Amino acid sequence: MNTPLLNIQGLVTQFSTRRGPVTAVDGLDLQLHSGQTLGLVGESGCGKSVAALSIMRLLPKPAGRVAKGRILFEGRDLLEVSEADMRRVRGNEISMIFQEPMTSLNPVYTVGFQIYEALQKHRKLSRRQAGQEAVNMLQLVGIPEPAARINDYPHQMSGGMRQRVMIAMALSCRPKVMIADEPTTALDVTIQAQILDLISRLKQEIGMSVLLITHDLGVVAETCQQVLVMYAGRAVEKASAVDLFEKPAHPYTLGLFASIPKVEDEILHPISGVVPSLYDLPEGCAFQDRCAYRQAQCLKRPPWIEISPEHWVCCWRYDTHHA
Amino acid sequence: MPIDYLIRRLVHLLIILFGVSVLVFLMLRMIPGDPAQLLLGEFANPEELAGLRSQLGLDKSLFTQYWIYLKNVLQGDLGISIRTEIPVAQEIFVRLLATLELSLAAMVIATFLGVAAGVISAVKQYSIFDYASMFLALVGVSMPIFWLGLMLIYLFSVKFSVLPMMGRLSMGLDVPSWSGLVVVDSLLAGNVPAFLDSLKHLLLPALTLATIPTAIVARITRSSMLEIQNQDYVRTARAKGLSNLVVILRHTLRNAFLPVVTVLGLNLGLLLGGAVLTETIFSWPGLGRYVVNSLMARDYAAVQGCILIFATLMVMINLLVDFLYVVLDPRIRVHD
Amino acid sequence: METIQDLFRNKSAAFGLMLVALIVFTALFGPMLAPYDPLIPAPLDRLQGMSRVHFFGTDSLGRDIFSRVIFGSRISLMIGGISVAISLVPGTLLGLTAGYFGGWLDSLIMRFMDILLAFPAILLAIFITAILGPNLTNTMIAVGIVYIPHYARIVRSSVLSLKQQLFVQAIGHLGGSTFRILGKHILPNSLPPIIVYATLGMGTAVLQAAALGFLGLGAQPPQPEWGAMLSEGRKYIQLAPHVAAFPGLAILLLVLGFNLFGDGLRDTLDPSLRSQ
Ligand SMILES: Nc1ncnc2c1ncn2[C@@H]1O[C@H](COP(=O)(O)OP(=O)(O)O)[C@@H](O)[C@H]1O
Ligand SMILES: [Mg+2]
Repeated sequence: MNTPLLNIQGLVTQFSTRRGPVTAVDGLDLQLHSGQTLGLVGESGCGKSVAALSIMRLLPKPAGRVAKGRILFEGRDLLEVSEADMRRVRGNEISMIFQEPMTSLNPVYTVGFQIYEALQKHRKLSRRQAGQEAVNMLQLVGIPEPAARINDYPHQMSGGMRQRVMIAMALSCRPKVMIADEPTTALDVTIQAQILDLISRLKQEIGMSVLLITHDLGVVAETCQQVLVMYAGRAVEKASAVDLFEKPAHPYTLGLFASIPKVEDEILHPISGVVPSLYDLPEGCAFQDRCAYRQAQCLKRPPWIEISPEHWVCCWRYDTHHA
Repeated sequence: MPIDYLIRRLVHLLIILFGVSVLVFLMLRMIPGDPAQLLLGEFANPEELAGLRSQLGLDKSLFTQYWIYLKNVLQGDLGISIRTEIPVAQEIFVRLLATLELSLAAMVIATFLGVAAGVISAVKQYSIFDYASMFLALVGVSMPIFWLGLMLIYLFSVKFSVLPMMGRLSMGLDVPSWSGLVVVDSLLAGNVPAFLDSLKHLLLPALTLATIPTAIVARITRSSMLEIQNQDYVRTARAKGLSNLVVILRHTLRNAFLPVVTVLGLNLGLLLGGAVLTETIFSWPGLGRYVVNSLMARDYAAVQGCILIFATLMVMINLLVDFLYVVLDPRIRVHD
Repeated sequence: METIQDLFRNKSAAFGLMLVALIVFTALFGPMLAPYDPLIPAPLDRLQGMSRVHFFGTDSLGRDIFSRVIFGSRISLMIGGISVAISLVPGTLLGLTAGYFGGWLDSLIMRFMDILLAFPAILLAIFITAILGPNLTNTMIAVGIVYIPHYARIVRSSVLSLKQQLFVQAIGHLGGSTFRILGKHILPNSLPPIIVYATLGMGTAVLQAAALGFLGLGAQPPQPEWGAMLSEGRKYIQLAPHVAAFPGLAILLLVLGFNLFGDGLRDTLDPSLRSQ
């Protein structure tokens, strides 16, 4: 395959807390190719948002920092560029939308201004052009009567509408990558589908790549070509969406599938046990305490194994040398 | 809803003002001694006393007296000063402008200095600057400003003789009184020496009066900024690639300003009360000094007038703060 | 217990407590500490500067300022305590009544409080002292009255939020008497903000009373009240600035102590008040 647009290698992100340092992302490798949608999946607390904020270099300061790794974007390591250069990347080449549309827009400015602001920063447009472009963006994300809604304040809009505004803002400068951190989690089911459709459509239209963060495999099925499953700060399985849905391999992935409610079978099968605290992860595989296939080797870090072309899993179960 | 809201506030404030006038009226009647006697002195004869009493309406019922007083006040008649025999309203008006000049200067200092210190402290939380400015702010809110004023006078007027000790303008300088604010008038008249001189006169009293409000504003700005800094929309602003300064000023301070405005409004009493002390120390010819001197001289008409004016000012500025709040917060302003 | 530990871990609160403790100590042992009588004039020693004989110098009547400042600590602490008590008791009762019963009683009480709050505090205090007559007792009464509305408001709002909480409603349904509910359940639960505010209020009261003393409306000569001493020092600011300097510094330290300690109490007792 050609070189990925965004190539994360060995990312380690840590927080210093009162109880000592925690490693929220531990050695993450991730490749996002141009035109693709990659789903980053995992239960809440497994480090998805932290990974995304590491890419944007927006980790909460001073507690969070990237300790190791490279984040190559079009060949440049984003961890090395100056803050000023990074500001030219944010919102312009890589943009991000967040889980909480209700609180992610500034309540004291009109939605129009908040879109306009991004346009003015990155694109050399006159005031009028930028204003017009803001209206176009609202139109693009499917907000009716955009010329009128441009003067609305966020509190005058519903959650779904606000998320559309966020998308309009994120896409206003035609970025190459959009990171969507659980963009539909806070929304009603019907609205969820609309927003996902919108993201897929605009991806085509603008020709960008999407890093879609979610804890919901259903969302992945609808929108992603590639999937990366995370657990406790580490990647555990990577595959194309088709492969992952046909032959999920990692016990954690299996558990995620089992916990999806099915229509015929109303009983939920959540993965037993809880996500271990990052302060005392077990030696070796982080999932071992909840794993039905646990074996002695699990006390050592499992290797990455390619069980079929481009389908990687990080688990001793598939280790042919030892089994 | 905002119009309704403002009207409701207005009605509320009118009730408060009415209450204030009743209270002041009753309290003055509680002062021991007969006003007529006070006016005419110890040796007045009984006929004169009775005459003056009926002239002042003191022989009528309390209710009637209040009614007459209220009617007069509403017509701008605050009575006659027994010391100067000039209508109190006139006396007050001139001095009100002096107080206004001093308070405005202090307000400007407090807002700029306090907000700047608060913002820097919040942005550089736990830095030396943060610790130092927050300690200073705590000293500031604990400051007996009448002492601070004296020490400033000693330092700058006595020891180094660089700033004047008292008054608004040096002898020999003359400024037309258009706005009543000497600094403004001298500037409008193009009188540079007078302008500089009036600024020099203003500096120490304004600093003294600004001390406590500056400290309060710095503290509240810091805590409000710290709270807003963690809001999701600030992260959104950063994700747009906006510069640090824009994020801090436009997306943090602008939002953090709401509590600052509220606190400024709530502490208005401190500013006006501080004016009483500051004016006394610096012999600033304002309302604060006037009310104290009137009390000493038992010039009750003057006292009553001043207190009414002070309360009215408080109440009106509170209304202004409410209004400002509506302007600043679209969640109150706009509705569907 | 944990609260108390937190409080001592809070450095500025501990520092504040130290300042207050120092001044309380001075007040208690004043007669033993003071080298001179605070009241007896010594005309030959007028307006002397700082020296080993008179640490803080002497005033216009030749009295030792150090001794007067020491004795003044008693007056200031007394002013703080009594004024706060005068605002606290009626303020709490009014706030409880207004908050618990609500309705027209609430409106009546709170409107009256609003009227008192429409005056700048020092002005109202000046006015009350002028009516009652200028002396130390009346200063305390005046400063006390002025801050009644503050306590009423705080108590009322904490009663309102407690009333929302289930346990008070539950007790109401069980048929507890009003007094029982107020005294046993609501009052103890609204104590933290009251304690915090009273501590900060000590500082405010000391400051206001000193201001009245400075204006000549409070303690009268020859009482060694800090504000009154400052007022005297003002006359000699050009010749002998130390006469004004030390009493003022004493006021600042005492008020700073109460404020530091009060801030620390607020952070530990009642984090919800922190942003105010
Ligand atoms: N500001 C922070 N301070 C300390 N630890 C944090 C912070 N933010 C996140 N973490 C840690 O990182 C882990 C992963 O968080 P996050 O990336 O938000 O999970 P999610 O996968 O749900 O997005 C959390 O469980 C937490 O332990
Ligand atoms: Mg998350």
